[in-house]
Amino acid sequence: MFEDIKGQETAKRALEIAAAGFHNIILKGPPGTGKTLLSRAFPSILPSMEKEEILEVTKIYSVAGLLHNQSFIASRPFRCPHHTTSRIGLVGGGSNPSPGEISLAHRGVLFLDEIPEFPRTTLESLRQPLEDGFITISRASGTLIFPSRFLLLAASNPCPCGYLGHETKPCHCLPGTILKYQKRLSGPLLDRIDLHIDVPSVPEEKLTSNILSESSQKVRSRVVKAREIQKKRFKDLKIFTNGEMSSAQIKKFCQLTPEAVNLLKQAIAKLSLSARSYFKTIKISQTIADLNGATKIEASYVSEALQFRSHDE
Amino acid sequence: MLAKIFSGTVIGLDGILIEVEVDVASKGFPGFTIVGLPDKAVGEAKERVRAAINNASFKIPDTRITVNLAPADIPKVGSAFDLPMAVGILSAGGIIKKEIHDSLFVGELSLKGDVRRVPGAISIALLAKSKKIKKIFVSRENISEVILVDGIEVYPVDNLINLILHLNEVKLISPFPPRILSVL
Repeated sequence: MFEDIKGQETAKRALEIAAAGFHNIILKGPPGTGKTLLSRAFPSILPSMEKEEILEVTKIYSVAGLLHNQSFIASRPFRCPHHTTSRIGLVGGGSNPSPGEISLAHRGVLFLDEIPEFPRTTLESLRQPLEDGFITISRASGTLIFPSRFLLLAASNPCPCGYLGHETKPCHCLPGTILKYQKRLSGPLLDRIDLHIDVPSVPEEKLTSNILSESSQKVRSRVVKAREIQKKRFKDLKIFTNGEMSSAQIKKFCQLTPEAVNLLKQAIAKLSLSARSYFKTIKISQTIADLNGATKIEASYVSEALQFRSHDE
Repeated sequence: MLAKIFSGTVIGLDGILIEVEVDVASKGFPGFTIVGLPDKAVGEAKERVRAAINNASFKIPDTRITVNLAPADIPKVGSAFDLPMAVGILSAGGIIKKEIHDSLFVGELSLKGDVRRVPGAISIALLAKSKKIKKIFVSRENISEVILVDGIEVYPVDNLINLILHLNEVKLISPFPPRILSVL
């Protein structure tokens, strides 16, 4: 629960945006700062499932034999496979093809803790399902399609020892090792993750203070409102959320104020944003606007969105 | 005698209709053969079905029994065919008096004759609905997921004896009402 986690307001805000717009998100920070705790609290701010979604997810769990004594799956799935999970275990397949973790996370969250520890081939196999929302498994016996529209939530350390950029503790890694570690995540995969968040260590005065953090329930009510706005916006389309918009749809639906356009222009020049980053920034800004109940994207939303794309620099 | 019982299997997420044809020959050496690309679990159904029928105090015919799982080119996996096979044998052997055309059966049998849950029951129920089959018989352990599908009569089966008594209209099992998700 969010109220049990002290500090980390930026990360909480980012998770709220991710939940509202169905954006993929990665949390980076030294060990012990609450990445895993934040991630585990994430389901508490997700909106509940629609009737069709419940049926879809229940079907997957029934086929996988994971329904146990529940009659149906009522809350959004949260799957956290260990990094030793095989490729087939993650994306599905096998001689009698069964759904993998990405399908079990359909309409919910796939949480990959310590994402650099996953073998590269395993992670690369996520690229297509992340984009398409389903996975096609072709074997000699036939071709199958499993749905896999999931939100990727990843957590990682900044370097092998974990303390790169830490305020007080020194990092003991060689520059080469750091580079190698960071390169384990390929560019195309990172590109599909909208929000990149740094989770720094919590200052002691915050850790010991008695100030209560905002409750999950409050955050969730804002997320639900933002989702309602999106549902209306994409009424006749096959998508439900901002995170799924194509660039053509971004042009169609996202309206920016002149100041916001100016700020974006500056950002493109100063941060040398790529075309894809440019569109992602608009997408995140749109979600922030929805969270605020605004019809147009204002400059302040763009500047908030830009700080979540810090890795672009 | 020949009997034909509907059952289903799951490929991917979708159910596929399987016809379980059972022939009990009037002569020949006693034997039990399953054809139609069975895997190991389906092959072992022989022993479960034999024991379940005997322990449910019915008699398995002591002539040649042939079970065909059609369409024969789809590989059959799992233990969901135990129940339709047992019903087929008892039907072909004349213990079940009425013909069964409007029902679909899935379930694993224990040696005692109890019916156990199978994976993918909801997919098979959706299949039955799309094929306009009126009734589906599943293990009571599967009932809570199957009743999410409306427009089909769902019968919970505890064990083989109760099922046979129902099919012979001696002691009826009452169907489960569907659960409407909107009232959740």
